[in-house]
Amino acid sequence: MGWWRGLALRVVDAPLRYQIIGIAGALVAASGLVGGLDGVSPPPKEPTIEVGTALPAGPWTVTVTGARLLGDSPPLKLEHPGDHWVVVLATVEITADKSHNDIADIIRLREGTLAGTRPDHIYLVRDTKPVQYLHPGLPERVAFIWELAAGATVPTALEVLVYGETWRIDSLTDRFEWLDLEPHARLTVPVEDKRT
Amino acid sequence: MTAPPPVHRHKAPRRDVQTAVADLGKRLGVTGLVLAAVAIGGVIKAHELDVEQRERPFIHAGAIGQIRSARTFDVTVLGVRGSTKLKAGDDVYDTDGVWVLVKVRLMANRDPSFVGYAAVRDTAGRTYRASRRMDQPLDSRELQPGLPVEGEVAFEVPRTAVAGLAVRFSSGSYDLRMDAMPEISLGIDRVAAARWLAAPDALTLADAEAGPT
Repeated sequence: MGWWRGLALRVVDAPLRYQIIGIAGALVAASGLVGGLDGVSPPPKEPTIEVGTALPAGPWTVTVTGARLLGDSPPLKLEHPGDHWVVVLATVEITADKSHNDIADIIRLREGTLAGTRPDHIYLVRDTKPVQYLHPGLPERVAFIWELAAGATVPTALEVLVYGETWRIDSLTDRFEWLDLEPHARLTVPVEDKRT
Repeated sequence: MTAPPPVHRHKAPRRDVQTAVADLGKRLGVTGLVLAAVAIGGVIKAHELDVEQRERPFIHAGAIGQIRSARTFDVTVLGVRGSTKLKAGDDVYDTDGVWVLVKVRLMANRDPSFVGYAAVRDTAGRTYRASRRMDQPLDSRELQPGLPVEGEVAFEVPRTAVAGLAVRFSSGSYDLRMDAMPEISLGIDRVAAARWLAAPDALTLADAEAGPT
């Protein structure tokens, strides 16, 4: 135990500034044990909105109206039997002055195995046909659809991001274009389980 | 020992009034020229075409029955009709707007060609691409020189946009800059638009067929 005593005497006899530095280092190390040195993700810059809120997001206005969990649902064809369909329903109106075919960019999921992925299908609710173009001034109910693996956790609510764009000059072409696709809002959407 | 050279002071002779006025005139003239150049530059800059205007398509305006060039093919609008329901294949398509069916005759000029872009433009400047909700008979149809093809193109537009529509075509599908583009007025007035809105029956989208040579 002699070395302990020696160390304690050296610490006591050390200059004050070394003692302060040592104490500060010990405090930082101790805080690291309880997560004090862990990285902190920045707060989301997009606002949180409620289901049913119309969100102007550049070339379109989007109103997310609900979410569903479906089983086998023709005309959709599951790639793997036993999988499920996760569906986000939204009313989309093109507010730009031209028809748009980038509808798949509008909705993303924030969490789970499907986070950030493009929808596997986008259907028009009115006739269950795939959507290619939506036209100015003609709001449509659209289903954004992902296939969820059979073993994945079944969500009771979906964290949804609504994306939008900004009308600005493209530095490459020097023309005004819709650019900077990024989240404009987030919302939590309860999932209705309609598998039976 | 020699004496230092005497100090000479040089002073410009006093100018007479005539010379002073002439110098002032020169300076004012130069200032005026600089201001005029700046002003002319400003005027030119103010009236300079932006990129959208410089690279806009070359519009060939026309009316129903007139042949207009889309560079690689010619377009003639033969007629137009509308309704709120459209039958294509075995399916009937409804809409909250109006289906506008434009019957056209298309013919390639020198080489085989395709229609890359078909849209209607309303009086507010909004453009509506040909509908993709169904397979369109003229979509992906290869046009051959000397062999006209006739068929209908379906557009879905808001009810308030129907009157005053004009149809545009191009061989390009994405890059429409500085290309020939027919813009043919469809001659739809408010009376016709109202009639189409009230029509209960679904219109059947006509198939493409060979036109008269």
